Amino acid sequence: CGFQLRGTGNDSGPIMQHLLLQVADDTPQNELARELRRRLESAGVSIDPSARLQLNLGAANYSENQLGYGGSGGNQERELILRVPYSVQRVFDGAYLVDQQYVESRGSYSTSTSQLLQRDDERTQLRLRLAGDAAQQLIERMRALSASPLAEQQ
Amino acid sequence: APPLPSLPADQLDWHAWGDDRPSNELCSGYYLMPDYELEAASDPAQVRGQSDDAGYGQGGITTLTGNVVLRQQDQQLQARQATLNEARDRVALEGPITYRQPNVLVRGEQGSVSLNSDAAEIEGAHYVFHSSHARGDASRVERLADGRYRMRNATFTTCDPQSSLWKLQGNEIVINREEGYGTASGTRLRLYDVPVFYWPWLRFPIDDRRLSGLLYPTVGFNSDNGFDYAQPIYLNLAPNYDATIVPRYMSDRGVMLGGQFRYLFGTDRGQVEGNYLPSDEGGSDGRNDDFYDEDRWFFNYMHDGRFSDRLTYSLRYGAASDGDYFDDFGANFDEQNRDNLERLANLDYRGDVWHLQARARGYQVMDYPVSPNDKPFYELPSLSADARWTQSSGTYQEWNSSATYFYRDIDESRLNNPTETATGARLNIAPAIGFRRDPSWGFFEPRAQLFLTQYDLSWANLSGNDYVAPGATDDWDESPHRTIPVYSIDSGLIFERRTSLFGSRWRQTLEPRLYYAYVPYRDQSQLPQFDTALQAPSYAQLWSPFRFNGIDRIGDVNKISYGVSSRFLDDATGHQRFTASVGQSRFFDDRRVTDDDPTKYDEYQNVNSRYGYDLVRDYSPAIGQLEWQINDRWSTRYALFYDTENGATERNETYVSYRHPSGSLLNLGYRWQREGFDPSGDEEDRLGYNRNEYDVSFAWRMNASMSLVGRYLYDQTNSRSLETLAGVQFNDCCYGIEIAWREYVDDDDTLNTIRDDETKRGLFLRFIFKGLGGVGQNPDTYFEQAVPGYQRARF
Amino acid sequence: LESDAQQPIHISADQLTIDDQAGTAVYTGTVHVEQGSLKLDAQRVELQRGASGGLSTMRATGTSGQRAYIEQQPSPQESLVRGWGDTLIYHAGERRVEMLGNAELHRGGDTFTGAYVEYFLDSRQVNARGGQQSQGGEAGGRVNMTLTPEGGSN
Repeated sequence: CGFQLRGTGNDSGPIMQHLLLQVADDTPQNELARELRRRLESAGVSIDPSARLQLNLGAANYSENQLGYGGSGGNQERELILRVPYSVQRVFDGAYLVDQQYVESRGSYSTSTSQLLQRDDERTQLRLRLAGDAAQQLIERMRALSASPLAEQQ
Repeated sequence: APPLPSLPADQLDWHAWGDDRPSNELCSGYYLMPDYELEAASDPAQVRGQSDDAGYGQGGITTLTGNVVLRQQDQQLQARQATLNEARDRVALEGPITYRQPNVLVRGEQGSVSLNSDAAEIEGAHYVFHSSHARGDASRVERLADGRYRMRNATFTTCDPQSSLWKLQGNEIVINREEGYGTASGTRLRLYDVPVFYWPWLRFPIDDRRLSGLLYPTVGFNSDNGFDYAQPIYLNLAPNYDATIVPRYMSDRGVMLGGQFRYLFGTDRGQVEGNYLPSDEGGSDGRNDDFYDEDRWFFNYMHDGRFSDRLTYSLRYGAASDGDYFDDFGANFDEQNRDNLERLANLDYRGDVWHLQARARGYQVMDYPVSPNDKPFYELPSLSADARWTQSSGTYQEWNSSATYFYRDIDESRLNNPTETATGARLNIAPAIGFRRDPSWGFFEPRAQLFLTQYDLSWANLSGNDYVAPGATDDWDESPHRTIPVYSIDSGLIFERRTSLFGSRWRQTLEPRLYYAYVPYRDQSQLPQFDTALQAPSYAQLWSPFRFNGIDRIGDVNKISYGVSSRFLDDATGHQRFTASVGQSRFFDDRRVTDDDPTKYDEYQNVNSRYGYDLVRDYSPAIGQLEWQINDRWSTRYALFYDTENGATERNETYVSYRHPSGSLLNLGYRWQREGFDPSGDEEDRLGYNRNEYDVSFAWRMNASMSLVGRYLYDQTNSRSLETLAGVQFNDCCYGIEIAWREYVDDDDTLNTIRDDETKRGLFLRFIFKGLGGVGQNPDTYFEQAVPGYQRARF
Repeated sequence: LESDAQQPIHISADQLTIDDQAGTAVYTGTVHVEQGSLKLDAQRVELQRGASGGLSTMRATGTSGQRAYIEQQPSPQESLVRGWGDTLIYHAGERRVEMLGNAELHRGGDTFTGAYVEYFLDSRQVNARGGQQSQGGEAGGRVNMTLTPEGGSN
């Protein structure tokens, strides 16, 4: 049915070897930036000026809403959505290959008034997992771009 | 003195929109400054003039008569007659005069202007501030040397010239265009010329740059407080700190005074807020209200700061007079829903490898009465150190460690779970080693982690407790320790192919995944439970060795999980359009570690077999998930948890959402979940019936001025509506009205029974005088929480 | 200067015609008149003698391209006053100058332009009118001026 191991077939090339990364609020506390750098490295992409493409990462925005009934405290389910705007530029002429797209990942956790200590820890862990998902989606996007001819122009 | 009549629109630089009116424009026209009549002289000190006649007479007086025009830099004067003194630093103007500065127009009867400073006075004046879309009349307008405008017996409004919907009328109004706000003394608010409200002193913004000024009054009617009127007044004290004072009158409660003080220094910012109501009149229950005649108060301090890029700290301290405070006095639906007040002192160092944290944390639970097992432990303090080293070969090591002292003072005699009756210290060290490679065709990650945990406890004596056998914990170890290894292997392959479907080209992936986890059984039934909770089944849990979160319980497990997911990625952008995944776990042994909650596991063979079944079932529920971004407006999500052994659905949820660029949106949701599916929480926190809910929410921006928001949540099992929410936002050129109505079921924290549920209603009304109220008031984020995707329109 | 009135009048011109009965002398061509600090240049100057034989009025006219020009030093500390007009009439007795048609006067830091400007040499008084009421000129003309504050250039 046409499936081949990714990277071994002829048409899906490997992800680009080099990439430039520019992050809006690049503080050590930025989970998404940390997660993205870790996954890029483990996918074999090095971040250095010899790159042909630059990934600009906007400010990550976590929004939370209630799934089901907020009520006054029983165990509720809350949904956390991470939304990150990004754009990709060609380094040598600054042209935008991708402009103002965004990546979204969502997850839910259940909490109740009797578990306030766990609620904060669960939210922190969920934020980390969502940052990982978003980073993985960004890598997928960069993989698609690295194969596109536009990135080749010199 | 009654305010002067306003000038007709055409004398106020007013241009009505024709068919060139932009779609989101709310006002019927705009103020536009005409060009200057004369060119300014090249030398800024010189005054260029034009008149029918001119004369330079005795004593150096220059007199110009016959529609005189004078221009100096960007200041232009027009009058019937103008007389310049000998020093040429003052010009007196007669007859209908027009004074112009950039974005300022003042027409008056007569006046005088200084030519070497910006000072000017004009009598019988009518003024327009073009950029602020503001106008008014005044018996006298003075432009002061520092650029401010002081007006006597003046009015101020942002309504279009022909509309007299609202105006401020004050003995003296001072407009500071540079800072963007105005102050007024002895001010009356007139609606259609009827005085409605009076302020002795008032500050209001004239552009949306600053969060300052009179904030929107909030009027409410609800079953508890009766008529509820809050009038926040904003004090813009300095560029980096400001305050809000909120007097609030409630017909059934009395007068409450609130305040908020915000500050911002460099990278540090913080806020102190508090409310105080002396001797509560009891609300709708009157005398037999729980807090009749008691003082009700609330206090909250927040501060976030940064010592360096890597070292940040935050402080929180919240307290309230009682647990019902927010239910009774929540200023908006969001506050009414607040279930805790956090107390925290946290120092956080984020290195490249090490993440160190020292904190003291606790909560006041906002429930009344608070059942003891709802009271969380205080962490006094909690120190943690985590690190991760990775090598290019793919191997990695982790160091996780934390030392915490848990304390709470409650009446242990009313606890039903003996493992929650201890206070004391816990030291936990959990090093881990592993290997992870992510070539493009898959990943492989073996991992091993060792949990070394040591407690130093003091068990409460349970003599007076009638739930637990007396002396149950007498012989429990005061310093138990526990050592548990956690082994897991995660592996996956990624197959890919190019297909074309629905007329566009996709890259489709097929990602099989295999996961094995083994955690040996260790008896933990005599270990305390400080911050641990049993997790509900989820797709993420399939690929995780842990059945609990927190450290006090490391659940034994011996399972293999298998699953496959497929993604459709847009060939050009890599944008994920469709993803579906299926997974399940096969348990090789029964699970024995529980959270020892007697209401769940009392000799699980017979009581509440639901939770007992979860321990012995051979297969986890088969979990299927699907997310499909149909086009840039429609998207849908679906999840199913299916018990393959008994052939029963345990949970399914379906969401369809529509997003329109204008901001209108629709969410349709259906949730079904078997009773007991989510084991977390105490008995009264767990749903006592199958959750079977329809959840419809929408936001409709009909046009620039009108938008509706709504939500309807229906509980099919008990055939009752859990929550009805409706909001209308009417937005016009110079005012706005926001009406929010909420009817909801208050379950009084007992989810396991609906006998004690009561329906509560609340209505909020908010008037927004555009240009008067800053955006400073905390907008009611409840709508944004209850209606996913909704962004409250900014006035 | 105040003393100008007592100074002799020197006139140079291309031609001179004298009409004794009417008591007038008409100079044409590039006419230059000087009386102390008062100087006048025009295309045609007509002198009128008063009954006592002294100068009563001087009427100077320029050509279409070149207006008549007059200048005078009001006092040693003040800067030169200069005036232009299609026609200049100097009334010696009243020490008054009338500028008619494209009239322009520069006095200290001020300039006045308009259809008609009248300047009193001793009192330094200026009257300017948009329309030439004295000759019934088109009404509605405007007077333009640039005024300099006291601390200005003079």
